Amino acid sequence: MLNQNINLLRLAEATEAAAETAAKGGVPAWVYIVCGVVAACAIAAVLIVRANRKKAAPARADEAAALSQARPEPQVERETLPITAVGNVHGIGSRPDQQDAFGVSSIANNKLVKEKGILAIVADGMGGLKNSGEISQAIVRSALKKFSDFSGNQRETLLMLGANINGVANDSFDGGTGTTFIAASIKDDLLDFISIGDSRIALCRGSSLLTMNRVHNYAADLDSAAARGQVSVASAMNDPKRARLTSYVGMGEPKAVDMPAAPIQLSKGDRVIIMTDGVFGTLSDAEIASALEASAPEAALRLEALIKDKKKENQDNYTAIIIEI
Amino acid sequence: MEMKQCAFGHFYDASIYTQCPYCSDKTGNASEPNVIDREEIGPTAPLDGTRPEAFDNGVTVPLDAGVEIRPVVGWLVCVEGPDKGRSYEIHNENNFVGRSSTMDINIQGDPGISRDKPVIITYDSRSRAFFCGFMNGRGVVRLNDKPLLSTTELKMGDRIEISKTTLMFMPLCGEQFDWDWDSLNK
Repeated sequence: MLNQNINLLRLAEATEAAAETAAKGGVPAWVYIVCGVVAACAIAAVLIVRANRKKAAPARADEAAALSQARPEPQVERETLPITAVGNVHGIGSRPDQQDAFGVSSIANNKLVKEKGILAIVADGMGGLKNSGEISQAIVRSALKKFSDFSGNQRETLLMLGANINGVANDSFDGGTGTTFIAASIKDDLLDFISIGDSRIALCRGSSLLTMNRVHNYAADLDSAAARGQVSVASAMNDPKRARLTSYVGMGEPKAVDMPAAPIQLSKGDRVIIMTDGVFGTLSDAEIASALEASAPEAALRLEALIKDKKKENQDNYTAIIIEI
Repeated sequence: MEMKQCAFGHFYDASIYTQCPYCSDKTGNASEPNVIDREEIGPTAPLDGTRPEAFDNGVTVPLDAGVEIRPVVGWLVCVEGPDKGRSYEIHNENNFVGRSSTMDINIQGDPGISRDKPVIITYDSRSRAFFCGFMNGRGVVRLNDKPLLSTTELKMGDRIEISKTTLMFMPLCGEQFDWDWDSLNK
């Protein structure tokens, strides 16, 4: 149903509308001039940022410091929504190894929560590759350790965490292994995240579950090729490679990274869930949403009970973190 | 319920567990390991030619897993049509040409090209020669302006015309050069 990132959808609609207007030929000349000026400014801004980056290239931490000094954040008093509760579920399913890993930054450390908010991360090591349990553990530990070290605002911190995770995955494991991850941070009343692979982040508001990221698997490519008529629907649906990942960390340079267009405004009562495909591959959105009616720790128990009830043959490792606002 | 957070960021019920159940053993599942025999679910890693067909057995796998590098033996270059300027690699043995992304040579821009293999290009390493043949579809496929109906050997610079697209053939392998297929197949 609402399995798309709302922001992306809005962006797509806006782009289509603009394209239609242009196609009708009803665009006055001044629009082009204004667009040209805006584009020129944008290019200039990009060049300036690039120049700054080059100066700060030797160390990423310096880069963040330089960036945040160059662009002081607007002093908007943001409401701080306290994290009411956190719950997690983590099971091996019917697999011989646990290749998922997860962690949440300390919620008891008031200084950290005030300065950086909280970070939650899940990683799904790729069972088809070697060392998949080790790599997911390694990136989770590294992310939690680095979270407090990186300066910069919420988004910059996540970007640096992403680069750090990619570095750990590529440098500590010499190829042939990989993991997905979603790192979500909540600071004040804003949620931001970064995702690579086929794990999922969803916002549960009221009784509806809204998936906020696009997964990077071949199924997504096939479905869009089928919609464009490049392959038949039947062959897209029956392709044995559907579940394979098109982007993950450990592959060198990940082919795709997902982030929202802007951090997402949270409201009191929201629940954020980040999970591996062992959860949403077994449970429907409605079942997940029903489990999330309970408080976070209780919701985690409910999710586990629902998964076990399914008695799914070949149940994948399952992991979810639920953060209640 | 008495929720505690361990040093590695896991939450657990301290009224049930004395220490974090997710850290206490390597499987991360101290409560009910629910492990079934490895035999029952088949091999998990690494995947090779023997991997189960259906959806990789549910294991998380990269898209290019098990895909070896296939040495290029020649190219088709689009010299006319919507994809003008693009080149397509020809590999050893049979190469199916078509508009579907599942084709070996996938010409996406020309909607007049049949999705499913109108044409086959074959490199035969035994004779070090290239051949092309007509497979199916209503449209006439032309080789150097003549309708292509039977298997014909391809020579450098030959032009294959399908719908609005013209592809020029450029070999890499031939009498002058070929890959050492025996060592590549090891």
